[in-house]
Amino acid sequence: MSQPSVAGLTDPPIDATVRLMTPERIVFEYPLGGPFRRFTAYMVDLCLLALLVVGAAAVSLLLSLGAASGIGPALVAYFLLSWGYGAFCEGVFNGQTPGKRALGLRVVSERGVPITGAQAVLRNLVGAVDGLVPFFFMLGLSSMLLSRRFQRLGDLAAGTMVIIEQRRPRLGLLRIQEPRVRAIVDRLPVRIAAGSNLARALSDYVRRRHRFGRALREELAEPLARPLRARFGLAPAEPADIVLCAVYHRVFLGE
Amino acid sequence: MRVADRLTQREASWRELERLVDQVSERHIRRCQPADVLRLGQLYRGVCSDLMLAESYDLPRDTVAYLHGLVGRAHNALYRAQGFHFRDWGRVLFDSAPRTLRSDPALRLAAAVFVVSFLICALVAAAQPEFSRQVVGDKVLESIDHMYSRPIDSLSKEGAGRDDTAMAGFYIQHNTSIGLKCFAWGILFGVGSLFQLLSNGIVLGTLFGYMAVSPHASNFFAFVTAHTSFELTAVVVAGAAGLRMGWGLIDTQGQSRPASLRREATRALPALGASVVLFVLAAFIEGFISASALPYWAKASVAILSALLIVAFLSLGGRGGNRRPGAG
Repeated sequence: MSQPSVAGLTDPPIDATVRLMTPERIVFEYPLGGPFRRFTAYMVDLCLLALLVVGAAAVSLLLSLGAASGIGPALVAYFLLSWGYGAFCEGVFNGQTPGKRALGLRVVSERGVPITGAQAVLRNLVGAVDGLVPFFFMLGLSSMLLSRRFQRLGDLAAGTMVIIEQRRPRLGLLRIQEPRVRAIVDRLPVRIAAGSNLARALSDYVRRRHRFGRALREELAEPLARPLRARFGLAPAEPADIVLCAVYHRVFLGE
Repeated sequence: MRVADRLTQREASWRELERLVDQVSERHIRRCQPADVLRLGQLYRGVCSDLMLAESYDLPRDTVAYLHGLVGRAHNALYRAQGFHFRDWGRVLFDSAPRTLRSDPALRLAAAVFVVSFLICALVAAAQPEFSRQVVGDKVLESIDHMYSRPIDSLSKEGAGRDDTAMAGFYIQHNTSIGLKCFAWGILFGVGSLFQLLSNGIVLGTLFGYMAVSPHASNFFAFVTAHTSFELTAVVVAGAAGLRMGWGLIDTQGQSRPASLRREATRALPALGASVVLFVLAAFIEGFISASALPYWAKASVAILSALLIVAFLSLGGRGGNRRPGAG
């Protein structure tokens, strides 16, 4: 926390992310699971649960050869599944039910460490209040909107939150194969000491420029291109877009 | 060093970490190759320091976002939920549960609310049939009259509509769900649990009072006596656990309200476990003994025995000592 590079730690951005510190003292971010994604996961779990209950009832009735006594174990299975499914899955599969797994969600405790068995039980028991039955999800939903980490009442009682595990494609560096860019790159110095702000601005611009038309590119790039032209002795007539791309090439790719 | 060089230098180990995380998350940690786990730890520390230095390396924003995701997934693959320690459950049930219940004013309050509402309604219902009609309605009274119009043993001999195992299963599912809901409602500052305790006390008390003066009283008591002690205690204990959790929101003891709620909810869990066990015991007795043709004295002694067991559990449980210092 002493590093200036994590200055944002004290004033987190207005965003649905949560910052955690690993035992290695590394700060990293998770996006939080919002109501809609979690509702979809809940529906997946509900379908699976219905299948399991029907399956358990079928097995129980088959084993008792259709006698009435087969209803007993079936009801016990229904009880165990309806109250224990979520707690069991989250406790054993590291905070994920199959539905959460399908949607890339995971339950962790508020400090980012994995949940304990007691937390898994608690959040699912209290979840009985969050659900459909009393007020059509209203309690859980309003608790999610009012709490800082999208926590429903069960999460608040157990001290847990639901995060999204991202699997991002790694976007590497871009190469711009335009002859005019290449021509300018050759006129730039081999080493450019770009500060981190300039580097970030350049990479942000290059990443996004393909979405803009020519006129808009010029308008956006001009304020940054003007000092760069002066610094490297380029003609003022060089298009701002081309200048930024060339500097980006030099700074990031070196070619 | 240029960013491109650094990326190409690190990229291979990121890819390897990604592959290992996928591999390790898919199975139990004990079934992984030790070499893989060690390598995972090594790569994880590497990617952690990459993330830490991302700013001074001038890594592009997308790469940083990618690293956040990778660190997150690797963190969750390494630090895992411990699952359930079933061996601890016995200790929780027979050690911490009676200890917390004994010292908990919530249990006394829950018992008082339930017993007082039960007794008042039972007395009034016994004196005035009109009262029970207004509280539970004609339909319920008719069905309960019909249910107990014949002696229990004749029912089980006919065996037409009733099966002991099925009924035990039904009681486990139905009654324990009521208890668990009674607990869950406690999160509304304990009001939900109080409401559940009151409504259960009023309805059950009214039915008891109504049946006690009805012509079928003997059939009724032949059925309900055996499991009463376990079942009513279970309701009270579940309500007490809910009250305990709700009280955490009211008396924060200097913590923030969510933190205080967490503390009390965790404290209430052993009691809730005890309540679930009581419900299941009651369901078995209700299914297999209450409905059987056993003579009344046998059922009454089951009730007395179970009441004694509860008293012993509450007064003696968890006094065994200093085996685990600091556990209390």
